[in-house]
Amino acid sequence: MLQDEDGQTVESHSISAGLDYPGVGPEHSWLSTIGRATYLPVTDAAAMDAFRLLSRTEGIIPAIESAHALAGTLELGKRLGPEATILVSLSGRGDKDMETAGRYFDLLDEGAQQL
Amino acid sequence: MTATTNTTTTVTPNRTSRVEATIARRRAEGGGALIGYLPVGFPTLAESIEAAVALAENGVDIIELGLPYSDPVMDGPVIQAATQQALANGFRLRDGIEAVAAITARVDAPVLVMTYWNPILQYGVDRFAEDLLAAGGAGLITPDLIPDDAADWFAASERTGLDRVFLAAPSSSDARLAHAVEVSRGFVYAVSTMGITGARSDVDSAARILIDRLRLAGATSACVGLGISTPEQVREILGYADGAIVGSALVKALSDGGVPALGELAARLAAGATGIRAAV
Repeated sequence: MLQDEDGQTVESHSISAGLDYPGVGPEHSWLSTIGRATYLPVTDAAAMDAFRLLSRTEGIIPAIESAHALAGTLELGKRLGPEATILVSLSGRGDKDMETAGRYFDLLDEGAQQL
Repeated sequence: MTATTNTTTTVTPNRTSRVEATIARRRAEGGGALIGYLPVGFPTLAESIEAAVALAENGVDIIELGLPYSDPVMDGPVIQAATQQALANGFRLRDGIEAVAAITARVDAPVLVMTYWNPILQYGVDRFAEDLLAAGGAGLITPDLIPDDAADWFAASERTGLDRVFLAAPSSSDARLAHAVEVSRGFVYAVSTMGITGARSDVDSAARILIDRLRLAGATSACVGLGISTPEQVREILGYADGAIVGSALVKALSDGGVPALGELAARLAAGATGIRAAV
């Protein structure tokens, strides 16, 4: 939990609505604790770069949540080298994120900006 | 996470539940208990203390003092707005303890604290129980703590003699109702409807059925909350339940008309809690 010393929840931020949450679920916490999974931090900018890259190169628009995994994959790929095979779980589709992406990449016209 | 050490110092526990005794006395008098909720720190800490005192002075039998919390999952719009204002004003958990002490120094009505569980976990369960006892508090109403997860609180409440009020809902199974009855002390909080706090024109008939089921499970002290705002509703509920809990209507009165309006509503509600049946 993101919380202050009184146990009051602290506001979180993420460009991805699905990740804009001030806590980590018990299953992820457990997987991390037992060393079964490793979690990497990803910035809004890195996630949106990966969002754009997959959209442009594969024609697959990832959900912004999934774009975080893609950004992590790019980092991991640099470390593991060109021979590595990496399986990515693309957990969601990004057509739901058009408005956020349009705003982020400054692709909305003036009328749409005001919506 | 802030590390908290659980120091277990010697405490003088409450030997009996003043809440249970108050409810039993009100029933014996031919009425039922009126339980009034207000959040600490709304509109200010000092005014919330004055408001709670006004409840007791106008016939409210038991005060339920809410601790503002950032994720108030049980609360409707009126109470959310009030508690958010209290948090914006800088409410700290320590203020809750101070408010209990200030109120119990001035009135005899037992003061129960209604709190979500995370702040208590952060404060330290044992430490909070001891500080609440020292402040003259009667116990805790814990809307988002289920008995299955309450081992620390069971231990602390046994040691301090503080009441522990768990919730029972219309959707609860018979086994879970029996468990809530078994482990609650003070009363069992019967949630009248599947929803959040806020005045409703009709209190769900589910409340009556739930109280019947709690009686079958052995409840001798069961109070109904959610949606109660008028003396007529208080009277109707006390025809079958041991207590009626009013929250949002009181908060709205305080918000709209200050302590005088609050006191006036409390007195009208209290009139609905008397003369329901012959005194014993």
